[in-house]
Amino acid sequence: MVALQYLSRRTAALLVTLVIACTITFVVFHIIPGDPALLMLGTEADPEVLTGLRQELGLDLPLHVQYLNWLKAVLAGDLGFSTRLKRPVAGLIGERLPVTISLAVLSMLLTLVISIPAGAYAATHHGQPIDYIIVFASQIGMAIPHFWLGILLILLFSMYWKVLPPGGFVQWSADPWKAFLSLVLPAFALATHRVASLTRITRASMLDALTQDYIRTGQSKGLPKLSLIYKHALKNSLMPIVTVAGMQFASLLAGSIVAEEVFALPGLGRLLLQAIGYRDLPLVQGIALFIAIVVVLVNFVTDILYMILDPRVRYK
Amino acid sequence: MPWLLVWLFVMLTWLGLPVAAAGPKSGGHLVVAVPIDPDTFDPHKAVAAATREIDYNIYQGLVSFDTEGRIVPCLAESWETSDDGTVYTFTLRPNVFFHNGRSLSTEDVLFSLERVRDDATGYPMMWPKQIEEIVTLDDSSIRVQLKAPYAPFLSELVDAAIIPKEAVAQLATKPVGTGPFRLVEWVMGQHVKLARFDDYWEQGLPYVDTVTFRIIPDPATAILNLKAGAVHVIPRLSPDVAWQVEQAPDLKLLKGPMNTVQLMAYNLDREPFSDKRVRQAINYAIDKDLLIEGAAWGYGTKIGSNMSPVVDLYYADLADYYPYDTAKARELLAAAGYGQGVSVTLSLPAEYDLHVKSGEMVAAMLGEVGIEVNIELVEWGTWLDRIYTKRDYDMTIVGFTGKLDPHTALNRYTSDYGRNFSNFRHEEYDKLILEGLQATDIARRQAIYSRCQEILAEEAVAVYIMDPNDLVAMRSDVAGWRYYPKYVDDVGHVYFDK
Repeated sequence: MVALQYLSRRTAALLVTLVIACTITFVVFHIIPGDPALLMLGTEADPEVLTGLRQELGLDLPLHVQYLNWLKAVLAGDLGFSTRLKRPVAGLIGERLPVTISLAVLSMLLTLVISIPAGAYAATHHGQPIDYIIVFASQIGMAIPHFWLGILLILLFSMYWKVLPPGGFVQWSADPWKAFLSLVLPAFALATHRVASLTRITRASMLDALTQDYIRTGQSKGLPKLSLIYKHALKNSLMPIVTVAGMQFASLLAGSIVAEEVFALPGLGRLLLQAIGYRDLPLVQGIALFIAIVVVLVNFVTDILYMILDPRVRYK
Repeated sequence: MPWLLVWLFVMLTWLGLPVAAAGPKSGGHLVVAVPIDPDTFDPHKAVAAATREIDYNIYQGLVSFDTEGRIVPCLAESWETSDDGTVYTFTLRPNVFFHNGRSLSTEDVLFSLERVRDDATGYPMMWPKQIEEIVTLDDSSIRVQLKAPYAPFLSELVDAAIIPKEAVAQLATKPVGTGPFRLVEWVMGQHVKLARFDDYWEQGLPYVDTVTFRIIPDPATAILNLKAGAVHVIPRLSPDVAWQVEQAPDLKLLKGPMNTVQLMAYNLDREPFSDKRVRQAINYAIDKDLLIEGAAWGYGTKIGSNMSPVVDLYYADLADYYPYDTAKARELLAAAGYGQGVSVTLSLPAEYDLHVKSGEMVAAMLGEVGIEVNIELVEWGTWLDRIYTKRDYDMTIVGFTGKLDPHTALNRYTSDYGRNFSNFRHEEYDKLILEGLQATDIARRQAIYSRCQEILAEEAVAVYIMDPNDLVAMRSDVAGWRYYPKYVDDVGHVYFDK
């Protein structure tokens, strides 16, 4: 009963969030200067052709009519056509998902596998040299801009050692191994910054947990050290880690503009960048809608994880 | 008898082999890096230059252009023009095939030109409105009747692709043309793959078997790919990374004109630019040679009016009309009443590195003569909207793509033209442009457009800076790259010279 109530509340919140997100995107897009028809035709535009194109794209209609038309179509499951590419928006987003999702999953796995053990280790060795090394390394990881790291990685792994491809993507269906290889460097470049921040959060949260009374109790009743650290301390410090990791995963699923540019990957980020550059409103709206859904869903999963991790949340 | 064979063998070796060795070799797979996807492969709807640079190899029109920008036969073997310049009769080339295997007929030409002319198609140019009527005369000839003489007709016709009727529904993603290459696959954001069309009409072309246009948005990544051998050609390389190519042993850099006019325009409806003396002063105050050196790394050709020297037939050399002379600039400013100095805003399109760098140098140069320049960076979408369309600006720097025909290049300065964003109004100029449209005689046209360019220089309508070089980076074993005064990547003539 409680779960059902919770679920319906979340669904309502989801819908409200989506409507707000779309409305904001739409309004902001009309506040900033720029005309899609003009951007398509550029400096060579003949004024008469321009008028024709604006009519064809429905840009001559009043704003609220344009918005309601879009909303009506979306409710019927139709995201419309990209103004520049003249193809269905849903298809364009769908084409980009394999890259974006696999890249997001890969760099998230990398992030979790490295940062949680590193953070926990640093916390349990608080004040020792290894702690300082990990803290220092994460400081550097946070400071390195990932476009620069990306170019550096290409230089090393593709130019000098020639072990990985210098950008581009091979479809999973064409050659799974090559597809995986083409994602290794970008996943690494994207993970660096996230590893660094998650390591620091794990470390801080663990340090906090290790000073709690129940740890001292456990210690005094003679629990083995490993069980104490991983079963009690880590489990209790997971809440902030899950929160941050969830946000990181959502931002990865929204696509990374910079990494996709540097590694020439056909992901969602580049599609969005181009769509904004050309004021391709239906496409921008479609992607914004998608990102909003992803964020809400990831938050939803995070909430469920809270309930699993912390019984107090369950009974609230 | 054997001596005859020996003689034959010797003669053939002597005659044949050297020729074969010197000619281009066939075969191979070419990879070209381009920064952005095409918009659509429907040639009558596409508006992006990124599409035209690729689909030049897929589609063809009745006529085409050579490396000098002259109009040459293509799908039409020949044509005749009536004395009054209103009737064009084209004779079709025999044995031309579409990529779907069907042979080209006059019906296809009729269909294509009617489609271009139809409002419902959304063709991005206005010239088809000049057509009065299209009639097929017999199996191989077709007549186009214009409403009035329109001199740029043939140079506009180069972009009117001839397509087969049966393919029209899926043209946007499955192009069918008559060009040397046919589309194999287009994966958005990744690549466009082309393969040679075996039934292509031009003997011996193309040379390579397949071409992949890889979409690589970041120039640094494109260069890394070129060095690694994963890419063979990068057209339109940004000049600030050119040194990387010049220093690499297995790469080469080609330089050619781009047929673009880079200019600093000003708003003639605003003070102080309404005063011709101020405009001339600004022209004297700007050292174009230094701009080419500093902003374009030396890769550019100085110009003096709204035309690139590459348009050989009509170009008037006015590059040194206003030599660099700060004393004269100050004198003119003082005469105009701005001896105490004046403050203006220079709006620069942020996405275009060349224009931004040029603008920063211009600001310093104008500062020398007492004009204080405030630089404002604007995003391209904003530039098009606010500056280009609403004409809300003082000064700006931009590049205009050159044209094959002088009319299309110079028409933008006529008083009533919707994109005359300089707000230039000049009676003689308007008259000349109108006259040029009806003139069929080349000598007359040359005189007209020469005078037009002179007027633009005389009136100092803008500071015409340079035609930036089109830099093409390639692996040293790639040969046969051709420069055209239009934005196309002709991969049909490219071959590997190993």
